[in-house]
Amino acid sequence: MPDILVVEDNEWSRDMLARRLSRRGYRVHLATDGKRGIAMAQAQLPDLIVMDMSLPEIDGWEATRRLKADPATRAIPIVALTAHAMASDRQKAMDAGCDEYFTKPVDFESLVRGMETLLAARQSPARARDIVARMGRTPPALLGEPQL
Amino acid sequence: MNPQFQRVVTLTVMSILVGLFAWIYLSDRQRRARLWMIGWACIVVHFAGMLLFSFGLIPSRLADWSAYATLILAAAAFFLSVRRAPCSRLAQVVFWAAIVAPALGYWTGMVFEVQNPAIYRAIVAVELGASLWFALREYQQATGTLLVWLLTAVVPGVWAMSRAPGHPESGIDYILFQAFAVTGWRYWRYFRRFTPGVVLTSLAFLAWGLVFPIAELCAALQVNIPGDHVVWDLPKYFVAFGMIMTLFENQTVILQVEIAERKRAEETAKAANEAKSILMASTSFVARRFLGAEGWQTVIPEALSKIGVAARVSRVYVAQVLPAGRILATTILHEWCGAGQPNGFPRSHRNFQGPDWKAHTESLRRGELVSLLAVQSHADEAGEAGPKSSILVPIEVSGVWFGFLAFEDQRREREWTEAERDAFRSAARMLGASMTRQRAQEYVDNILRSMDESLLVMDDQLQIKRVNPSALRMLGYAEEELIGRPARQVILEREVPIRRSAVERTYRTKSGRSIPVLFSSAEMRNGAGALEGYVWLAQDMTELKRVQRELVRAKDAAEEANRAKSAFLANMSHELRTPLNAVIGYSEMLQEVVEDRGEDDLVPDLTRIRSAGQHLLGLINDVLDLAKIEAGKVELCIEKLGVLSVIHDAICTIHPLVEQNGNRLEVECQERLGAVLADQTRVRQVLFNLLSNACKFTSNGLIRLEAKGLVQDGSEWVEFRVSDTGIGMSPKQMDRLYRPFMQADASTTRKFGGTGLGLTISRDYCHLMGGSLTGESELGKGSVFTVRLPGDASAEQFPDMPGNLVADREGQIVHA
Repeated sequence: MPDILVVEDNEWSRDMLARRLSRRGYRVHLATDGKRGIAMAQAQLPDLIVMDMSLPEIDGWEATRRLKADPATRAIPIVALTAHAMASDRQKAMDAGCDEYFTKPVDFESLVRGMETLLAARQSPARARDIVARMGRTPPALLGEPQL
Repeated sequence: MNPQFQRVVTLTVMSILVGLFAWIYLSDRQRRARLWMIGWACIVVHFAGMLLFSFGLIPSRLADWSAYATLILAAAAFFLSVRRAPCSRLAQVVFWAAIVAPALGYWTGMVFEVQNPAIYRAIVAVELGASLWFALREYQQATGTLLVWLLTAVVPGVWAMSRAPGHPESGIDYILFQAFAVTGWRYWRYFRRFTPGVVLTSLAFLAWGLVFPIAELCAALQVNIPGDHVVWDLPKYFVAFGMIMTLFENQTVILQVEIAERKRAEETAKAANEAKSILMASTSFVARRFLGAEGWQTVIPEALSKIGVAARVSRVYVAQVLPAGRILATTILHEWCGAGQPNGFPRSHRNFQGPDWKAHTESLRRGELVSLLAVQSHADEAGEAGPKSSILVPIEVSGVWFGFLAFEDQRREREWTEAERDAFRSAARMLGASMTRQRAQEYVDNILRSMDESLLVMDDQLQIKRVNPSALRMLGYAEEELIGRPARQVILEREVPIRRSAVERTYRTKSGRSIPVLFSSAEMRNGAGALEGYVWLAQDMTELKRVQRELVRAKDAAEEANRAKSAFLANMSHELRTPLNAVIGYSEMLQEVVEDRGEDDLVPDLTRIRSAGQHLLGLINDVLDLAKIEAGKVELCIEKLGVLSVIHDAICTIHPLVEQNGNRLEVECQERLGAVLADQTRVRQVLFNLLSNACKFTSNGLIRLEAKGLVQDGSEWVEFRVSDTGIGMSPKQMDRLYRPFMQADASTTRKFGGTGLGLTISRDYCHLMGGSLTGESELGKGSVFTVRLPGDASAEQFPDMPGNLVADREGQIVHA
């Protein structure tokens, strides 16, 4: 099973995400700040990192930059998961080197699909295409109930 | 003594006298000498007649007749010579006719021995009456003449007549000689001087005229007069010598008078010359003053008094003509009153009216002088004692008749000399020129004064020549502190601008304060093109600057506030999302766990928690969207979207909601719609919003989604139309539809949920994408919302699906 490193300082978010990912069969490792996140990523070389952006010690953007700068960890996909939901925030995360970007509160199914795509792409680009084809078009993210 | 010899001697003496008178008359032109010469010529004829008779050459009758006739002519000539007023020709004819003709008639009668006394009486009556009439008419104060007449002629004549009754002709001699006696009286009255000649002549005439009465008196008193009848001729000779003396005396008097007259004339001429030169001097003084730098109002009192004294008038004034109908109305601007002219005019207005004034006004308008005598100028309404004479000299200002300069003399009627007229005219002209110049200057001054901009005029050396009040106010200087100073004193910049237009410069006030000004400098050139100086125009920009600074500050503040708002929104969004993440995440997870364990009774509760969380998230997103739209921060990514794929997306996402209230969804789509030019996410959001509203407010009804292409105003459009058969809205509710946070009815929120932002956001997105969103609704019947977006029918790269489609309950698109 893939090893997933979740770097998240908010305890409930961390716990919730860890448990849900575990239920889907991922091996989840947890880090509570950027510094430890970097350390754990370098030490354990997980298959994928889910990174919060507002972190103590070293923030998510900086941590991502460092990991992407380190040849050892460069290849690990990093999914940004943040409450910074403005349009510019997405760009900021991508600029820092994140491979995918999701806002909180997260649509869990979308997150899993995004993670799977990245994991498959890492194994083999062809397989990634397979997964995309199998799962179909990513449905539009519908945020909340429609309003009048 | 031989009477013949006696007569020859007399004749000779008399002839010499006539010659003498003729000589005096011809050499000195004394008119009296001519009449006397005529008189004495008559006497010569008188004696010649007697001489001829004594030699028996003529008959006694002719001798008698000529003796008396010539005496009458001589008397008349003497009498006329001392009349005072010159007689008219008619009066002279009457005189001769009335005096000479009856006398000649009388003597003619006597000589030819006509015996009828009535004729003589008639002649005497005519003679007396005519003489009396003439004397009274000729001399109005004739008391003396009348008295002499009565004493010398009438009384003795009447007495002589009464002494010889039956001889009416007796005594007429007395009366006929009256002319000599009266002439004696008149002679003295005429010359009125106690000189030997006059006294001798007067007494001798009197004696001559009274020869008969005296002879009668002597006879009555039995006084014997020695020397026979020669004695009676003596008065004649005394008369003659007296006259000669008179003439010589006259000559002296005439000479004296002439000398005096010449002297007086010389003095007059001298005085006139003096007056003229004084007048000229004062005129040129006045001219200099008027042409000087000072205003005419300053100069005028002195000018008026100068020229008034020089012209020796009582009053001089300047009158301005007011526009008035028939009368000449004036305002007295200035007045000078000379000595003996106690008061000025009682008021400053003076009107002239009367028949003459129309002509006078016209003359003045033509630039002519109007000279008036007392009678005429009494016509003014003031009622004061008018001047004896006055003259009005018109004044022209800027080529238009302005008024007049009036000179008045209160003491005498006078003819204004040419010199005076010239002086007055040139004074008026100078005054007019001064007024004209001042008016032009005032015009410029007024322009400068009325300017809000500061104006400085410099010479070519950049020395300040002239400033306007605005400049003084701005710079805080008094005028004299700036005039003649270098321009550098007031401007802060090192380089003194020569030719600039509307640039920013800084002025330095007296107190050293700096004033930002909008500045222009221009060269000032004279008619020949030579540089005369510069004109600086400046407008205080302090206030403008202040406003500008405030605006910048306000803008900064607004931007800062906006930044703060954005930061707040981002922050709030962030802070709300984090706990919401846990809420939604845990509830979803729990739902999975509970389902796994088969404890389905908990599922609905967990679903409620999750959907409440989703609702909250929707709110946050909507608020964020709205804030972005309001801030103009929405970034759109317009691309060509296949209409069918857009519809497909919409159907897929709305599908679960359609079923919720037991509704049916119909989709109708026109063939070959091509593409819509829009931002995918926003179109999706708009359509979803409209469809979900339709679902929400409709139960067991039909919801239709139609799409068609159309061309309007030369543009292609794609129109999406969402209609339902739901509860609908009243017009009042429609009004509030697009207002943020307003639902059609406050109760709607409770019943149906929602933030009331969806339609507002949708409409704004449509506008941002260049399209529109409109809605129609009827209460109880349902609503129709139409989205119109720019289209591109030619775009064919998307799979073409056949015309009418119906989505069944599974959301499949099928052919209608």
